[in-house]
Amino acid sequence: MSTNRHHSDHHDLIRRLLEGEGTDADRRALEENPELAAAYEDTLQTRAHLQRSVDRKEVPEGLLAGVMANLESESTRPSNVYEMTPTGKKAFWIFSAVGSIAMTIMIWAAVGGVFGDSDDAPVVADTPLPVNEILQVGMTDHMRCAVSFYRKEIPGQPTEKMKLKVGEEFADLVPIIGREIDLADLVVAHRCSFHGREYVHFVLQGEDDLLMSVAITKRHANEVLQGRAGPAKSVEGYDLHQTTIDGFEIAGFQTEKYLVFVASNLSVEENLRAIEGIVGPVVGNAEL
Amino acid sequence: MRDNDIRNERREIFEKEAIPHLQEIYRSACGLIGRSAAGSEATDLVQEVYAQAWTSFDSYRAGTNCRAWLYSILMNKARHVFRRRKSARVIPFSDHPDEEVAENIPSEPIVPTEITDEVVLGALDRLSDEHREIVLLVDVRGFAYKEAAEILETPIGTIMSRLSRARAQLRGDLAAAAEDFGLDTSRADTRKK
Repeated sequence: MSTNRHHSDHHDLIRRLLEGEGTDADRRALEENPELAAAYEDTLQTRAHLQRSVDRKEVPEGLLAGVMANLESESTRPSNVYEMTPTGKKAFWIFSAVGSIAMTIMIWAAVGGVFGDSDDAPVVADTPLPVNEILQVGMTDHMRCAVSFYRKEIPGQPTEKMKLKVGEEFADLVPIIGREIDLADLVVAHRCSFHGREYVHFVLQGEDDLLMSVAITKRHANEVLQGRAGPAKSVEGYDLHQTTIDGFEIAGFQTEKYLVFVASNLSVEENLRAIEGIVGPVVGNAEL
Repeated sequence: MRDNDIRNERREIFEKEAIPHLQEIYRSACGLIGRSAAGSEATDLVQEVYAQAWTSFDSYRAGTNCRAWLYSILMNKARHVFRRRKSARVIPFSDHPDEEVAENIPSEPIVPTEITDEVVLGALDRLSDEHREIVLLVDVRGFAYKEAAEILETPIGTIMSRLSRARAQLRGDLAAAAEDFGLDTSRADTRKK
């Protein structure tokens, strides 16, 4: 992350790549110029850090209700009066209070659900991450990566190239992912790293701007995929958890060694169906 | 069409086009005004943004970029907050980078595997208001330079130069924090992936 790498003549090329306007010549320049590639990757990394940190901010439970209540009262007021009305504020704080209580109960339930009721159960140090936290690790980055760089730009990679990119351990998954997810075509597979965490990442595209990512990452110590609302489904002994982050539906399951996620702009049901289809083959073939 | 019908239709469009961006706008507001802001400040700011969006919704053309339109309101409102702050600026204790990092080191010595949100948001906080609003639009929210220039009503050349300086500062801050945490900031290992 050197501050001296960012040459001004690279700035516009990086902008084009970030905005999806990169040309073949730009991409060639990136491949041939390590300094430029470094500057580009620095920018991507900094962006990924920022996006993740900003988007992990909890949104107050009562915000929507407060805004809606505010609109209700604004409808009956003359225009150009912009300040928040007492009705809106009151509604916000009421909903916040209710939300906080609900959140406390859910967190309690999540922790209790993993560690049981034992008095010895660790409370803070080993508290598992809530499912959203784990699901969010890398997933929004990956979706943005897919949206920014693979939308209508790159023709699908050859299967053999994808196999090489993901490495021997996961090579067999390339045809499996392509075959088992019939709603979309596998276009890119690679290994990547965000925030010190490595992923095997498959990008799929389908009709009507359908975009899907399948990501596999090693489980860290103490990570337990534990949805607050419980699993959405159970398939072949694996619990499937589902959540929505930034408008993307994200489903995940854990094996002994890995966390596996499917994220897409499909509906909840379709996204779950997609992950459901790969549980057996993925677990069986990659010996996860 | 009766007044009620018009109002209902207007509200229906507003709910369909503006409300879906609420969470993102809230998080962006938090990023803009920083961690030193009172808990309710971001909420109040977002309430103001949506109240203004609603009252001036007639000026919005349905089907155009509602998200960008909301951001232009957010940026205007945030600038009011910045101006208020500048008139009564207190330098917070955590403005010093070293103290910031020291505060973030847990009492139990552990080796972190990644840069924490605290460090990242701290680096974002330390940018000037002008740099932070551009970073937020372009690097966090993915707006094109041209869109950011329109939202901020700032020439695109200024956007580019400010963004370049802001990114350099951020990279320096994050690299320094990573080194303080003992993380390897060399790129040799990641380049090969």
